[in-house]
Amino acid sequence: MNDSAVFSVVSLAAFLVTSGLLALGFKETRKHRLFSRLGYLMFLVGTLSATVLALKTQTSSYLFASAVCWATIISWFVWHLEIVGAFTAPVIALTLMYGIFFSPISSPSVSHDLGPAMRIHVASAIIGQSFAVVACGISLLFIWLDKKLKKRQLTDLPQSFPAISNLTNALNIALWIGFAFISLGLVSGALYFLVGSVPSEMNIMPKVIWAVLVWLWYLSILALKGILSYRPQRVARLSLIGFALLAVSWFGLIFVAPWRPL
Amino acid sequence: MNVTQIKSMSDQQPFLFFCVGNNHRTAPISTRESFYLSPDQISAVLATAAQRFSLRELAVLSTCNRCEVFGVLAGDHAAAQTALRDIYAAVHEIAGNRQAAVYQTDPFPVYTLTGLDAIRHTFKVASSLDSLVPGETQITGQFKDAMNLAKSSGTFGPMLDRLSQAALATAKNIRTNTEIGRHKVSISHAAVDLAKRASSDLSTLNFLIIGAGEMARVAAEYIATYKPRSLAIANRSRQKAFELTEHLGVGEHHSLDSLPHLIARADVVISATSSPAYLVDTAMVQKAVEERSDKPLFLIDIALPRDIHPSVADVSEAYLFDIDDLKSVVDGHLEKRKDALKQATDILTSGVESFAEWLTHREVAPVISDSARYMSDLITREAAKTFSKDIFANLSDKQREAIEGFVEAVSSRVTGDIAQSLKKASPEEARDISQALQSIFGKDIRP
Repeated sequence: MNDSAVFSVVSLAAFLVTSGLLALGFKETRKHRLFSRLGYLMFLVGTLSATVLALKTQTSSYLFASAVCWATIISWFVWHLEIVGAFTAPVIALTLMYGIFFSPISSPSVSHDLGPAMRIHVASAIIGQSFAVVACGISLLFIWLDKKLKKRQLTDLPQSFPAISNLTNALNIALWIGFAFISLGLVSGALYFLVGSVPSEMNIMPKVIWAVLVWLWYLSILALKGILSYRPQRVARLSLIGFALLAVSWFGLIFVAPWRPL
Repeated sequence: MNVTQIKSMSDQQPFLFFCVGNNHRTAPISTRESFYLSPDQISAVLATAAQRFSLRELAVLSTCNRCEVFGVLAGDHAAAQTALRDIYAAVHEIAGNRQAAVYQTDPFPVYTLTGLDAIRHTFKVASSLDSLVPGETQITGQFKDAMNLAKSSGTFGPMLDRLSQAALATAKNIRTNTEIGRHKVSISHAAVDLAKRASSDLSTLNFLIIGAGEMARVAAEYIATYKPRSLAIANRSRQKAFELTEHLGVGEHHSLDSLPHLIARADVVISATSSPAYLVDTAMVQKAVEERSDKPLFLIDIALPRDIHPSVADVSEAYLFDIDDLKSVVDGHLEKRKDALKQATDILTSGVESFAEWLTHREVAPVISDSARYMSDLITREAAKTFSKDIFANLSDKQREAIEGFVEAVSSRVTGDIAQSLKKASPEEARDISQALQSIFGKDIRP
């Protein structure tokens, strides 16, 4: 078993365990708080392992998984949204599974030496998409909290659950960060394409479709929020529905079309 | 049970402590709201109700968490259980409480406690162990006010006096010797803590407090410690709102006319007035929400009767909570004070036991002395008869003293055993023993 295989197994195992621990740690008892702490520890272990794996293999699925990890960790430190890991950990685990089973390391999609401009393009696109995952996680938390507050089911809410304003702010910022990065990714990709330095063996169409879809998703949510003054409840719902549609299109691109977007 | 039957019970001996009512554990806020009685209503009700049912003593405690009638009634437990529902219904009927009339059918949403259960409950209420927020201090003052109202209405007697004094002494003991009241705990504090669901950093929020009474003051003081972005106090009397902002050293004061504008500006509204009508309605909140950005609006109504119309909860961007919703916030605090609560319960049990002991002693002391006197009279009478007989004519003084001593020792032993049994018995058992003594000796040994 080579190093990459070891790291991929360690990462996958860490995020599968994290998913379980964070789901168990949702309740407010001493035992469940211990599960949460162990979950966060495993998340960090998984993040380090996935990052090493991504840097070693340069495979876009691992780069994406690692970007989601770091976006989640940023949300912990900046917005104190540790609980968002309960949503992103299974997504990361699924991405790693895809990387292991469907995107072999022997055929990496971004390992070509494309120069710094292309690297900026790839990094921007991946960071933008990873913030889409985080935004979706925040939306899910927001919708759940909103429902509990409206129904006055306060006993179901853990004491450590983030406040609704904090979730609204975090969602807005996550959407804007994601939009900025995905825009940068699209612009840099377009420029790269226009100067004609894309290797002929690279099929860029799936990536373009996927990136444009994500960009449109961001744009429509931000436009509805900014221009039509959509309330946070509707923004969160749109964010969640949009992300679900994107996920479906992603799987469509993988399995229906003969392309692999990541 | 009709008034005549209850009166006839009251003419009998002995007396029984009772408590009838509903509280936050047994009735939701909408029900409690319909049973709420203002101090003026209570003053008007007490004398009439006590007279109607020939009750020895009567007091009414009505707060946001309970409306309970305490008193002293003659009769046994079973009869009292039925009588108490009638008394409770009559209190509301005399007070002109029309909403409560809806409940004057089965099942009547009240609990009825008599004897030791009523005593224990009174201790729990006065010590705030039965409060929504155990350890809060407001109930002790409200309990004292209820007793003072009874005093001024002439329905406060020695038994309620002794009970309330014992209950308040136990409350003080609990407060002094446990950690239960060390932390800032009250409904107002719980309301402010609930606002942390709006934002974890309260200094970023704009607060509006409606009312300038005790609960509003406690909430405002607690909020001020967080240095909020803004704090506005709106009250019917603008002068009182001004006095509160002066006391706090921060905040703006407004009259209730400014409410629509103030709600649009606020992130958290805490309402705690004694207004009998709703002050905030759906249209007001809907309009306020439309004027706001995408920040959530929390409305926390800690008044009873409520100040904010329940239909405000239907406004999608507003989150409405009332006193009952604060329970989860309180439960979080209780988890941290589990040990203190156990300690407080132990002190309460000891206080109740002491009171029950005093009560039993008070009831049985005359029975014991009457028994002793009866035995002594019996011995004197029978000794005189016996020693007058010829066969005892030649007894020496020593022999006579020895016989008298023996008889007195037997008498003392019997009286002592009776006293022990009575002291160990509950008030109800003591009454049974007294009645048995009466039937055995056929003498007037009072129960």
